[in-house]
Amino acid sequence: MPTMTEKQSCVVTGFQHHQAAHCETGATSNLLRYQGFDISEPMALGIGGGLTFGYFPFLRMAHMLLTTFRTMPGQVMRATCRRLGVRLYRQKFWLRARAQQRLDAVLEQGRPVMCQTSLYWLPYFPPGMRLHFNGHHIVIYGRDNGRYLVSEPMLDEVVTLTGAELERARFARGGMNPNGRMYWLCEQPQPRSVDLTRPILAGIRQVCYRMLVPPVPMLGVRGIRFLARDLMRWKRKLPEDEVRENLSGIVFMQELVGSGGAGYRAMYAGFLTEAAELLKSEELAEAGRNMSAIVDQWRDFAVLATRFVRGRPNPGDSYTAMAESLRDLAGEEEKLFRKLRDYAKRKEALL
Amino acid sequence: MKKKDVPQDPGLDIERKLMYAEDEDGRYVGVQSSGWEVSNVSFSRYWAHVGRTLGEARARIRRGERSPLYYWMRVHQLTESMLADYVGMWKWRVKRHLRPWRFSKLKPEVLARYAEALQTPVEQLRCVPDKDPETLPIPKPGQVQPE
Repeated sequence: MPTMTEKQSCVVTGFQHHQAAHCETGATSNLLRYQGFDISEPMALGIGGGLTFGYFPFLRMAHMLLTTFRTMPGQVMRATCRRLGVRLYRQKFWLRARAQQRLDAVLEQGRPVMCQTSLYWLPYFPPGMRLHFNGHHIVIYGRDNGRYLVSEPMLDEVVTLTGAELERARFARGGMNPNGRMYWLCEQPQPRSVDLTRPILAGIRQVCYRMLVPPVPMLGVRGIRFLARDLMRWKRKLPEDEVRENLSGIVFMQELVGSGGAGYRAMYAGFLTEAAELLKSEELAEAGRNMSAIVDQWRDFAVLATRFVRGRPNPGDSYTAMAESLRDLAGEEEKLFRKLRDYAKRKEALL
Repeated sequence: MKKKDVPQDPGLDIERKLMYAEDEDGRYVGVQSSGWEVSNVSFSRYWAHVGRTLGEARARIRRGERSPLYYWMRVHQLTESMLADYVGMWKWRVKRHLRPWRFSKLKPEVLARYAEALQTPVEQLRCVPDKDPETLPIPKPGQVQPE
């Protein structure tokens, strides 16, 4: 592998790092801002339709029960760019050396690059964060003195990585392998004014579709009800410790993995209020307020579940109450997304 | 969630992560948070689980059921299939290398593949330390759990 010299150092001028709650939406927003689009992180989540719910009782991640509140890695970036009409280039690699060559070449052209990596092999994270999750995204915006300059969306400051560290993270294995996947945009950066109406409505409709008419019962509001039903089953069938393990896993996925609070619901509420201002729509503003209520409900559920995880439930707490609060949530989200779907359909017909 | 209600309970997470919360006008803004005690419970529970698997691994190696490779696999929180994917071998072959007898007969080339995948020197792969690596945030026995 060629060693990098000082001569080869290059930095993408004009790239600005903004801290984000979630890796992929943050990276998407940072890349699009560089191109001149004024897209905030919640907006990227909304346009990319990144919200969902999934409960997979037969899968585990890092020994934990797998629930998901987001779509698959890479989908938000692809959908956002598609809806904004920006051509997105992406590539994956078999050969490690070629992946690095390509990254260098694109950086040379002055384009920041989004790379899919593993969380585990990124040394700048605190050791507690080192989990095997291969759907993490970072933006590389240059290299200097043999170190890559990294805009890590989840941190408030930029960091650096050596070529070897980056390569290991890009070629992590063990499920959902990144295979050195990289994404970049090739247009000239320029200030733009884009009408976001259509992208916003398309994003909303996609999320509504996912939540309301999922093809399998593990997804969407059906998934939440499925989880509620299983919660009662665990109580009957599993040993106490395993039930706690499962509950702890749900809270983990909901609150920890870069979700910005309540499993991306807080960020989505931010998107709805922002979209309401852009489209001057009272209905979207109301949906945003409803989403805020749902955020608080999810957080209350996390508090309740954690009391069980600690093994110290309050006198009134029970599994029935927990399952009931999940069913409530499913009902509230169903109501909200039905309204949103009707709104988006009506609005699109008028366009 | 209101801006002033954003929890600030430090844990094993990123020190200043971003959360979204409502400001006074009902608009959502990013607020830096150092963590939430509720999610910290799940976090330390996970690491306590890792600590338990490491203790279990050490006991199994001492009983002669597993090779030291098993311990290092667990240190990196990997399963047999994940390790097999990292070194590019069949899972059954990795499982076989987790047996002490097979492990002692491994060729240097094969050991080197494991060393590369686990980022651990070969000499280290052959032995099991009495103490878990300091870098892992495993709660010590008797250490107060976040309440």
